[in-house]
Amino acid sequence: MLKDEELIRRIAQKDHLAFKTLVERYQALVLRTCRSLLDDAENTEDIAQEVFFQVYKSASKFRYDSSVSTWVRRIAINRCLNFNRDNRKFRWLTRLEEASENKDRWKSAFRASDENDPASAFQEAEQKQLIREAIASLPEKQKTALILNKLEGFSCEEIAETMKTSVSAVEACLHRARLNLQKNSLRA
Amino acid sequence: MVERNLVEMAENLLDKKTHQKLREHLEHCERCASLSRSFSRAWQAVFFKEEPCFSPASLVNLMRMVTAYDKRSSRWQEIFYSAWRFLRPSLITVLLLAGIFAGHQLGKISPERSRSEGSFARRLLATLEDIPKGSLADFYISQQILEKEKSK
Repeated sequence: MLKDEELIRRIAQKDHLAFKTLVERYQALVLRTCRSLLDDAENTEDIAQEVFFQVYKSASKFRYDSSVSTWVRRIAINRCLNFNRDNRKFRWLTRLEEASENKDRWKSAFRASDENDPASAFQEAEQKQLIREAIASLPEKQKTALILNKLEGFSCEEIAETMKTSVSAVEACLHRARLNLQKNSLRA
Repeated sequence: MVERNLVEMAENLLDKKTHQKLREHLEHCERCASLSRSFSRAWQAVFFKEEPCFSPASLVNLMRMVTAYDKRSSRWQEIFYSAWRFLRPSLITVLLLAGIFAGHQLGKISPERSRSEGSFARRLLATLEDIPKGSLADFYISQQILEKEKSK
């Protein structure tokens, strides 16, 4: 099995087979990252394709100063955040409307219920959706740090390397993310 | 109090004192215990690490994008190399001529040239004095001098 660095070297020489191997190796990581970071999850596959296309175009410029997985993840994060920024249309207006509706949704989704109740499956889906929406409403850095920590299991050092920031900044981001989620949940 | 600490409870980030207080409360309050359980379950489920993969159509589309990019970049490279092969001798010639012209311009303002111009002017003046009186050249020069004086 070829190492990641060797794959990148071959991709820089337009080796399509090496590129397909890299896609197979990292598609789960990229798709998970895109699905978590994008405001609109419907565009996950399109954005993931653009991420790999960018990897192909930039393979010759890769400097081998970080691991290939960190580099690919960085491209995915930047692409998702740029996409969210470009498609943000008057979200502040909808946020005001959603804030008052959410309180009721949270209360009804997390009301005490019998776990054997058939409706509890629907309730679980609603709970997950509410938490995802709360995460999506976080500021970019907090959302990114939380996704990398919780979804990918990264340590603060690894997150700091990916986001090109300090470990203390990452810890502060994670702490603020949890506080904001708490604020946006049942206490909202 | 449970509602205030749901996320931290799900993450096991509570300090000892708060954890103790909440545990005592949850032992007696079924509603809060159920809420805490369902939130923790939902929280863990949101971060469940799936292994998604591209649909076949997406993979095909991606390879198509890559192939089209290769064709575009190789076409531009071909155009560039053809232009370079054609222009290289012309470029060398232009550089050579530019060098000669630059040298010529530099030579025009050199001190030796101005000195030689000065000596040429002195020789010219000397020859004017040698022009015999009454000759055609002498007549022409005196006419030029008269016209200049008239115009003043």
